[in-house]
Parts: sequence; structure tokens; C-alpha cells
Amino acid sequence: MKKLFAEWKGFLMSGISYMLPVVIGGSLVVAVPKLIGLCFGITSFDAYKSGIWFYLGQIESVGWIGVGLVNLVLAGYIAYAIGDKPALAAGFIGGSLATTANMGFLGALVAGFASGYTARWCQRKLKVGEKFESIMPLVVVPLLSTMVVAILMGIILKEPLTWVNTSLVAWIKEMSASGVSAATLALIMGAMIGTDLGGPINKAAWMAGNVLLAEKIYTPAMIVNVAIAGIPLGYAVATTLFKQRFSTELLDAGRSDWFMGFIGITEGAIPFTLINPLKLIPINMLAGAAGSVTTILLGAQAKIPPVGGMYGFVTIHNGWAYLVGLLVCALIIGILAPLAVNFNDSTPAGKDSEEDEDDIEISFE
Amino acid sequence: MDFVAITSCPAGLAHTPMAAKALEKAAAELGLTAKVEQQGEMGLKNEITVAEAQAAQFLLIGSDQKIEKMDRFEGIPKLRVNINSCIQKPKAVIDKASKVVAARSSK
Repeated sequence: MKKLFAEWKGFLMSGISYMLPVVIGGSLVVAVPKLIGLCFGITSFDAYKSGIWFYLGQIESVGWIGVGLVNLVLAGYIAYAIGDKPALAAGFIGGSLATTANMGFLGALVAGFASGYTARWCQRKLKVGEKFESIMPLVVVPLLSTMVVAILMGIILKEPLTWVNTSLVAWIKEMSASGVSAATLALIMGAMIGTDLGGPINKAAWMAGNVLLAEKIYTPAMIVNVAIAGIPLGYAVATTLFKQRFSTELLDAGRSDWFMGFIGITEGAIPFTLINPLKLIPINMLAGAAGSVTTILLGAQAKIPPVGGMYGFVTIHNGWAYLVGLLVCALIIGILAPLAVNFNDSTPAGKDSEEDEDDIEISFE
Repeated sequence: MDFVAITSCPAGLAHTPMAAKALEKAAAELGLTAKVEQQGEMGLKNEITVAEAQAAQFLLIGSDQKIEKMDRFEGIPKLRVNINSCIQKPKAVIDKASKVVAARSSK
């Protein structure tokens, strides 16, 4: 059972890793014209029929196409991760259906898994003579897997999925809109990012933020982005403020953490956290939660898909609140971590010779 | 070639190279020859060739994601391990992998 879940998580992660550049590319191309407009006090290009503002409006609309592809790419590459190339077709088609029929990311997940598993089943169970082998990936697998998706999502699950998705979206929208619930959300998601820095809990929060982009709900993604960038920045700050508390190796890691924080990679904090996880993980969680909640309470709003990293503030309405959130997060770690732990005297867990083999899980493919 | 390995993580920016370096370093310290490929957001880095793959004792995959170009490794044992284990205790991972491969082939 546990293995099955790990496998599913892997498929989902593969899908997301293909989806990310699409979201980032699309949302940045939305953000850049919007920002230029905002500098001149223009909030919408719709009214312009010619000239520079018209062209910027055109560019922005291309960016929205990218954002609109999220379900399609997610479903397609989940299917690809499970059933290889022949599964892509059904995944794309199902993902596109998820968008048009308002089934959202849930629909995309169902489409991806259904296409992937059907394609995989076909490849493993259907045996044809060698003569006809080439028609398998080209005709049989795409036909069967797309048909399964069409029956499953076009008929059987269409109404329930649409209902679940619209209700879920309405509920999260309400939470994101009301200040109190958004702050609670920020506390929880910020702390989750700080727990295992790139492990399952961190990625669960990160995934929630990312898949909701497809629903045009941007607040959760903004919340996680604060903690993601703020935590590595915290260790960069710590190594700058308290040089004598760090070994040369970690001072180097601290320098690269400026970069990690700038582009938004929580994993930059791992080398530090490994020194004393028991003390440092709570500090990371506290900092993540505090940073995210500060951003929300100061009135930052995500009106377009937010981009991670320090420079992500350009995509946020009240971007200064985002930066203050980062600062709060970074300072909590920058000051508390070196006070709580002397990074000089302990060797990172697992680096010495007594590496323990027992809890390593290895499986054959 | 004692073994080949592939590391890959969702963002392909942090864990992938960290795990790859950890494995390379550990292999060198254990006196083993190894080649570690990174499958990150930038595509395939330090790509393992078919000849290298076929000469290796086994393939160690440090990832729970989809791995590209698996057809290169036809016929050699393939092992999967969590990428975090590769970063935290690369030596133990390599040791254990070698052991389970040896145990299986002696059966």
C-alpha cells in the first residue's frame, strides 16, 4: 500500500515538474505587460484598440493561454509517467476536457491516471503478433486509452467531478478572500514548507499551491512562495550575521543560499538543518508560518499567478508585503538558528562512518 | 564500471545535483567507479551511454519520478531509492544496493 502511494506521488510529481515551466512561462508573460501598465496607472488593456497598450494586451493574452494549459499538461504528463509515450494523447485530451467541463485539477488528475493506467495495461496485457506490433503504440493504445477517458470523464464522472470541483473551488476562494481563514491557511502552509524542506510534507503544500493555479486561485501559491524563499534566505542571513558560528563549508552553503532564496528553493536550507534537525526544524516551521502570515496580514494579494522566489513580489498586488514577509521569515531563522545551534562543532548527521543501512528502502524495478 | 546512477527530483535544481555529487563522492571514497547522470529541468546532464550502461553492475535510481531513456538499461538490475537517502547517507545506499544486487544474482 505504502509503495503504491509512493508510486502515485512519483507520477504526480512528474506531471507537476512538466507543468511548472508552463505555469512559470505563462504567468511571467502575463505579469510583465501588467507591470509595465501599472507603472503608467493602467490596470486593464482591454479598452485599447491600437498602439503600445494594445500590443501589451496581446502579449498578456498569450500568457493566459499558457496558464490555461495547466490541466492539459498536468494530465498529459501524469499519463506519460505511468504509461509512456502512447499514454500522452489520452492524457492531453482528458486534461483539456477537465478545463472545458469545469472539472479542474481533480479532473486532470483523474484523466492522467486513467489514461496512464489504461495505456500501461494495454502495453502489458495485450499481445499481438510481431507483424502488428507497430500498431500498438500508434493505434490501439491511443484509441483504447482515449476511449476510456471519454467514457469515464465524458459520461460517468462528468457531473460528480464538476460538482466537487466547483464546490471545492468556491470554498477555497472564500477562505482565501476572508482575512481570518487566509491567515490560518498561511500559518499551516508556511509551517508545512518548513517541516521537511523538499520532503513529502513540504511538497504536499507546494502541490496544493500549484494545482490551484489552474483554478485561478492564487493565494495558496503566494503563501507557500514566501516560506520557500524565506527559509534559505534565513540561513544566508545567519551566515552573514554570525560568521563565527559556522564552519567554512557552511559559509559557502550560506553564500549559495542567497541565490537559492532569490529563486525560491527551500532545499538550500537542508545542509544547515541536518546539523541539528531537532532544534532547527521547529525554527524553520515557525519562520515559514510567521513569514507567510505576515504577508497575508499586511494585505498582499495574488491577482495573477504568483511567481516564486524573491523577485516573485512583482507578481503580487502589494508586493512590499511579500518582501516584508520574506524579511520576517529570514530574520527569525537568521537570528534564532545561530543562537540555538553552534554550526561549528557538530558534523552533519550521516556524514560520518556510522551511516545506518537499516532504514534505506531499496526496491527492484 | 561498478555501477551507474540517475538522480532526479521535481524541480530538478537542488536535490538532483546534490544527490549526484554525494553519490559520486561516496563512490570514490569506497573505491568504486561510477557514473551519475542528472535528470533535471535542464534535461540530461552527464548522460550515461548505452555502452556504459551495459558495462555496469547495476543501475541505481535516486528518485521516485519518471526516468527518461530507460531502454539503455535493458538487462541490468535496476534499483530505486529515495533521493533524500542518497544525499544523507550515500555510502550506505551504495553498500546496500551492492549487497542486494549480489544477493539476488547468487540465487
